[in-house]
Amino acid sequence: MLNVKLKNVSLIINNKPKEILSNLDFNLSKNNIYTIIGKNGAGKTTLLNTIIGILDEKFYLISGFVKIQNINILDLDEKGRRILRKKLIRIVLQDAIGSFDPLKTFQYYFNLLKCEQSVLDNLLKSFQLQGSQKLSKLYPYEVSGGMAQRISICLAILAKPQILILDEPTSALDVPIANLVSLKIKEYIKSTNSIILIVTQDLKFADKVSDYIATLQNGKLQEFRKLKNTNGK
Amino acid sequence: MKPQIELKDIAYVPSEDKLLSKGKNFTILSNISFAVAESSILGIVGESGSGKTTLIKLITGILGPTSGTIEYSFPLNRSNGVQQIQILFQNSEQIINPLRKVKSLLDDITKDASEQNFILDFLEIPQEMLQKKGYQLSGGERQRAALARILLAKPKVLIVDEPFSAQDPESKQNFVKLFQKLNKEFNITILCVIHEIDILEDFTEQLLVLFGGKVMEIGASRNIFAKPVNPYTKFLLEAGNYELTENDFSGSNIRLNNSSGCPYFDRCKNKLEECEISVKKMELTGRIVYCNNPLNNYPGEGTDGSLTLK
Repeated sequence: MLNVKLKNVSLIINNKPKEILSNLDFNLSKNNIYTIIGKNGAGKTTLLNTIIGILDEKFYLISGFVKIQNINILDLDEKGRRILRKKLIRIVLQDAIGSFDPLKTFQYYFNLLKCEQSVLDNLLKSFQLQGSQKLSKLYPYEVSGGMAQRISICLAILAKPQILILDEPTSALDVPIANLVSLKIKEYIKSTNSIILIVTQDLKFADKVSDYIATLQNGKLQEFRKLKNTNGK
Repeated sequence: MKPQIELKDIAYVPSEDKLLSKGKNFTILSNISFAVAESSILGIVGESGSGKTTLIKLITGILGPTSGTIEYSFPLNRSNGVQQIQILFQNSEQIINPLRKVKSLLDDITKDASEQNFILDFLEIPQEMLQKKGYQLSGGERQRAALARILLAKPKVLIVDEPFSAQDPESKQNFVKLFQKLNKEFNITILCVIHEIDILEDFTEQLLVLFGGKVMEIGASRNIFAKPVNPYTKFLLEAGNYELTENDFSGSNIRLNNSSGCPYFDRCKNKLEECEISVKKMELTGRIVYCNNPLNNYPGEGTDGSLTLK
């Protein structure tokens, strides 16, 4: 059974007294879109990094457990974590342009996909992007911030992950395109029974897309609150 | 009065002779003409990928236009080499050197302590921050430090590229107030690329709407918000109010390469046959609209004469 479970997760930076995350305790279950909102520096991205296990334990002290499909990711070594992530998780990072290798064109990323070109093209076009033929010749620094963000969301969706994590997916997008992203995310969850976790400052977007919303403040997360009338459920 | 910056028929096509850009020539901007008045606030909006960042790079002179001219009422560089147009970039991670102290960053521009203190007070930056290094600052602090450095250069024009994108609502409001104060007290012209529609109306005086590398509509923000004339402007401004469906995006968004037609053609619900071939320029009271079949009741056509330029 697909789920993500955090129990008593606390995080401090070595030798510093202040807890960045304190005693987080929540479950994410499939078929739901969860959104975490919070102020600048509240620790939203750090929380995501904790869940996917990419924080360097030389600098961070993490207690508690993060269970993904009943495996505690904090118990795994680097190799085990990589396998788990590859199998289950895709993440769209906040800095979309910077998340691509600047020396590789998009062709490289398109080649990694196991889907047919027409599927890719349709998805790109539905995001108001040009087809893969044109994009594949471009380097990441040749597209705009919003385009890179949309391409990165397309790539994540096409990998069909069971857990999709989006860090500020609309930060470089205008309102109509942000709406489109929320439509596509809802479509994705309907067709795959996955879990989607979003971190955002865009309250309107959060309201449109989420099933559950929680606020992260001073390292503490409120309980996830269910929104009414979402996704026709 | 002579405008401070005037763009005449600007086009930008990435040059083809570069090794890396082989075979990807497409027009990023074409047919861009507008003027910016001194100490005004201009908002630049448009769909992601419509050329907003390229446009500001052209205005600052980081890129040169493929055709057309940009005229300034002031020299771009002062005699001491400091640029009169300054940009506050979108990416707060990369705008401050992580290994240098804030103090030393400010000293680059001027070592005059009273000038520095004046700016620090104005931006409400505590003195302790001067001794911190770049990597010790939070995103918001970095943005403020970068802004302090920019203001010490006493720019005539400040360009901000999505300054609010990763800010929480409270910080957004603070930034808006700060920019308005800069505009009023220092007479700095502000050009702002922005996505948050709700901030736009109060913040900007003039609005430039871009789509597919072309100007759709430009004019006083208040008028445009009251009555958008171009169908894309209406779509953009109202998109937050209701749930869009995929039908709203039907049709492709492929750039019409070097075409004189309307780039919004495929998605426009008001389109006429001639839109694919050419677009009419309309000059209304206080605004310019590029559209063959504008929305009803636009100002200047008799039905509602109450809308005039501020």
